[in-house]
Amino acid sequence: MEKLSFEESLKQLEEIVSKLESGDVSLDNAIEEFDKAMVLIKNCDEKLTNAEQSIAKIVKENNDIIDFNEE
Amino acid sequence: MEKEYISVSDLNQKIHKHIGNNFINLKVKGEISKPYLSKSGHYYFDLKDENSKIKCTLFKNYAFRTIKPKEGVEVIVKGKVTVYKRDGTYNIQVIKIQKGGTGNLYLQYLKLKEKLKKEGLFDPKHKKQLPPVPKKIGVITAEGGAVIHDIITTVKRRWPFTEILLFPSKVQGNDAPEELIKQLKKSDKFNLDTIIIGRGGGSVEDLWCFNDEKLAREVFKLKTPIISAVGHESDFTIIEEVADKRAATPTAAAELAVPDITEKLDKLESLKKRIKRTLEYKLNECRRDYDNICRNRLLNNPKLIYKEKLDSFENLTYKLQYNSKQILSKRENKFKELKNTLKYLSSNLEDSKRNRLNNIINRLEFNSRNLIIKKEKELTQITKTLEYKSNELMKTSENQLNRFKNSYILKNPQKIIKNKQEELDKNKEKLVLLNPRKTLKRGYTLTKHDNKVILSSKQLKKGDKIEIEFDDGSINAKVI
Repeated sequence: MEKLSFEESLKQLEEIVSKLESGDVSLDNAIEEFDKAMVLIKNCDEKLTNAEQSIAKIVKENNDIIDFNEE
Repeated sequence: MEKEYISVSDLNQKIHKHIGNNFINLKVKGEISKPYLSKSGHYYFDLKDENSKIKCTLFKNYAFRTIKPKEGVEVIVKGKVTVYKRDGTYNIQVIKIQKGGTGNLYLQYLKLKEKLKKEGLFDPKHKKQLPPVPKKIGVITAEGGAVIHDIITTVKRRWPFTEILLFPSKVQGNDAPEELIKQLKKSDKFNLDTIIIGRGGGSVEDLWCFNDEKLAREVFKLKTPIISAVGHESDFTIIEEVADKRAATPTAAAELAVPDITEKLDKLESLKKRIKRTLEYKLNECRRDYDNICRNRLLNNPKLIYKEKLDSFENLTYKLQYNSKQILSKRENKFKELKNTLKYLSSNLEDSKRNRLNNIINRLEFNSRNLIIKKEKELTQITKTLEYKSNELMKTSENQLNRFKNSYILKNPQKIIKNKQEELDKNKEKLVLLNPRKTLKRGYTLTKHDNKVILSSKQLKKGDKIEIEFDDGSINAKVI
């Protein structure tokens, strides 16, 4: 579960929601899916709030990659 | 008297005056042809359309304030018509050149577009899907322009986790296509999720490098999905036709490339709500079903299962009683009627006969009552007997069954086998004792005549041939 990417987590969440919303699930199964969904949501939330912000870089002629300064 | 002729100079002078007053503040549209820059800094060129052309002059002091005349470019020139009196020619004295849309360049563009389209380079089936959440995107554009700035700003605002790699390139001029191609090839090897290639707005000529055929083919060959962001007002460039996605501005390109964090957070929130809602709904549904079952009247009052039957039974009993009473009362009424008739009849009789009749009636009444009571008693007795007998029968059967179930035989089958075995053994012994051969051993003999055992002397007469059997053999003899 931990290794899922953001979009995979989101996709699984959407699948769980449509499964639950179809109403075609037993109560035990629904609770199981709910627990799974809560883990996925937490996972996504963490990815959005804890992810490191990226800095733009420039690829030089000699393939050196350095921070890009707009000035 | 009127002169018969005028001089050439006069004519040109007259034309000059005439034209000069009438062809001022002109805006003329046409395509520039054969532009020529003189040593003195003035430009000379022709302005043409399909059928006609006119010479134009752009003096140095106007030339540095307006765009330069270029071959094949469609322009609108502002100016006036002047006559060059020495040569008898006229031209437009240009004070300003404006972009006038399209010229030869446009035709070239259309031709190339048609060609590449036929080859299938624009076919939607070749368009690659952009990854919804890219980790790393490449941008091919000028290092110092507003394009990279806009893209960085937009990406940081929407999805700050995506890494941006700038591959700087010229985006204008003759060398631009070559550099763009070089950077495209390079960026394709950087495992990028998406590439954005573009520049800000400009004239048709400025954007021309993005109509380069080789560049278009390179874009087509890319393994990485690419978004074009070439700023322009009206016409598209070839690169936009080949790219997987096109955006009108660099900001729009960045918006296409990365998701919006607020949108995703909203989406997560809404998914969370939906999941909770459906689960709550499910729980309520289950609780309702459970409650319904608990409230079920049969479960709460199991007697109800047979109450209906009981009711109908009681109903039947009642009907039976009612009907039988009904019948009885009918009979009774009839009887009374009969009695009354008889009484009435008897009233007409003489006293002695009447008395006798009354007597008979009374007896009849008494007897019939007695009969009914007797029959009732009998019926009760029968019912009781039946009940008793059936109970007895059931008890007996049950007892029998129990006895049978508890019987020694059923519980100890081996015992029977043993008994039978013992019996068999005893019989065997008896058989051994009874064996006649055993008697022979003790000295008795067996006499046979005609193979029949002789039991009495009276069976034999003189001269009969007999066989005497001993234990160890037999001899033949004759009765004497």
